[in-house]
Amino acid sequence: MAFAASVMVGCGGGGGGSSAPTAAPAVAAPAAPAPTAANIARIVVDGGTDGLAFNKPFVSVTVCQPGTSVCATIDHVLVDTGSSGLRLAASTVPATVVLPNAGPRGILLGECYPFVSGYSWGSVRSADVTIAGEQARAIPIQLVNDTSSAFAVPPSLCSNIGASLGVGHSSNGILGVGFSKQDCGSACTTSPGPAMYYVCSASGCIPSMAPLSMQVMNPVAAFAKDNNGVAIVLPQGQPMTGSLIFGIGTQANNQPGDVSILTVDNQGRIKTTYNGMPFASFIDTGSNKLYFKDSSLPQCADGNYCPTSPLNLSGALASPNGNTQTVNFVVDSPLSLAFGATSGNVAADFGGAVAEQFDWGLPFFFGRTVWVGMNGMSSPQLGPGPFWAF
Amino acid sequence: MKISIVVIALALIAAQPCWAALGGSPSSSGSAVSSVAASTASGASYTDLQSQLPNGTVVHEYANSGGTVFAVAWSGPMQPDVKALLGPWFDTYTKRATQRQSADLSHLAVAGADLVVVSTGRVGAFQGRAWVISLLPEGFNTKEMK
Repeated sequence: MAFAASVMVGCGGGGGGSSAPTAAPAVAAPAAPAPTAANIARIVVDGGTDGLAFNKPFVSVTVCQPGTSVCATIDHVLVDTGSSGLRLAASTVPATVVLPNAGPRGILLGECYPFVSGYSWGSVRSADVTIAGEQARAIPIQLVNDTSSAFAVPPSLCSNIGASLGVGHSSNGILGVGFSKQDCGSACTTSPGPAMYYVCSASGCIPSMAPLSMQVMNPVAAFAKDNNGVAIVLPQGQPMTGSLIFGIGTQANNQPGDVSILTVDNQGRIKTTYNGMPFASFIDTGSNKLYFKDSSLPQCADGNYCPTSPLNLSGALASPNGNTQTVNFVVDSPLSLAFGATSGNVAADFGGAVAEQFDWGLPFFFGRTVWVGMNGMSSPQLGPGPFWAF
Repeated sequence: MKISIVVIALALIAAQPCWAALGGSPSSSGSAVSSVAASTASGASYTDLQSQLPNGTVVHEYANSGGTVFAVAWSGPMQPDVKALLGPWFDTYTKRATQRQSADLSHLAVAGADLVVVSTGRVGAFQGRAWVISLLPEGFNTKEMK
C-alpha cells in the first residue's frame, strides 16, 4: 500500500473548536409531489435545519454500514456542484450505524477539506450511500467533526486556513456532485503537499498521500448506472422544490435535448464577460447569490447590491471549447426580496458584491435545467465531461 | 564548529515563531522565489515577494520600504496558511468567516475598520487578497495586486 506520510514543520498551535451541527428540527417542507423515479432525488429549498437558510438546495441521503441494512437517512444535505463527495456532520449519524475508517488496515485516515470561508475537518469512513433509488457501495465519505479521539483536534495545518465550518450553516451535510470522481484526485496520490489527507493517531495527525480508492468519492461516480453526471432542475417561484437527476441520456427521464455545452478549463472554470470585463467564472449551487463585481452598483453595508429598483443585467459565458451563452439576470435590493420561512427561503434576484471571480450561484439555476458532466465520463448527447450544459 | 552552527540554524527554523505577514515581516522570508521592487503611482516604493507553498498555491506579500507587509494575495489549488499571512488579524478573519451574512462555501468578505479581505473559489482555484488600510503606502492600488 503506497501510503507515505511526511511530517511538516508548522508554526503556531492547533486549536479550532468543533461546532456540532444541531439536530434537525422538523422544518415544514413545501408540499409538492415527490419525484418517484429511481434516478431522481427531490430537492427542497427551505430554511434548512435551523430555519435560517436561503437559496440552499437540500436532499436526503441514506448511509448504511457497508454491506448491511443498518442505515440512517439524513435530511437537509446541501447539494453542491462546487465540490465532490459526501460530507456528513458526525452528530447526525447514529452510533448504531458503524462506519469503518476508509484507511488501510490499522491506519486511521483523516481529511481537511478546504472551503473559502474555512475547513471541514473529520475522518474518512466507508459507507453504502443511497440517494433516491441509486446506490454507491462502500465509498469513502467524510464524517465531519468526528469526536473520536484521533480526530478530536484538527491539525494546525488545517485550522490555520480559517474557521471551522463543520458542514456549513443550516445543513446536516454537503453532497458534492461536481465534476470530479474524487475530491482531491491525482494531486493527493503523489504528494502529501495538498495537506488534504492525514494519517491520525492518538498523538496527532500528519499529512499523507491518499490513493484514489481511499479519497472521498462523488457518490454519482460510484453508481452502477446513471453515473456520467447530474442535472439540477429548479423551477421559478416560491416555495420551491426541484429535482436532482442522476445520469445524462441514460434514461427516458434524463435526455438533455437542445442545450449549449460549456466545457471547463482544468480548474473547473469558464469565463464570464460582464460590462466588457472578462472574469474567471463558475456555476455553483453551493453559493446562494450571484457574486460579481460592479463598482457602479449601489451596495448595502452587508456587501450585497441594493439598487432602488430591479436592474436588468447580463453576462456572456464563454467556454474553452468556443461556445458562448448570454445569460440575462436581475438584481434587486435584498430589502425587496422576500426572506424567511414564509417565503420558502428563496431569493431569485440576489447579488453579492464580493468577487474575485464571477460566480453564478443558485439564482442562476431558477427556471433552468442545468447539466453537470462528470470528468472522465461521457454521454452520446453531450460528449465527454467536464462541462456545464443548459 | 561549523556543524553545530548548522544544527542551531535548523533548530531555529523548526522553532520559528509565526511571523505575522500583515503588519510584520514577510512569512515567506527565506522561501520567496522572486522579489520585485516596485513603486506606487505616488512614488512610494514597495516590494512584491512571491513564493509557492507546498500545496501549490502562489502567495504574494507586499512589503513597504521599511519591510512591513501591508497586503497579501494568493492564487492556486488550495488555501494558503491564512493564519501566517494575516497574523494578528486572523481572529478577526475567522470570526467573520463563521457569519452567514459575510461568507459561504465559495465566498468570504471582510470589510472591517482596518482589515479588508476578499476571497473566492473552490478546491482547484482559490483566489484571495487581504490588506490593512492604515498600512497601505500612498497611491497603492489594491486592484493591481496579483
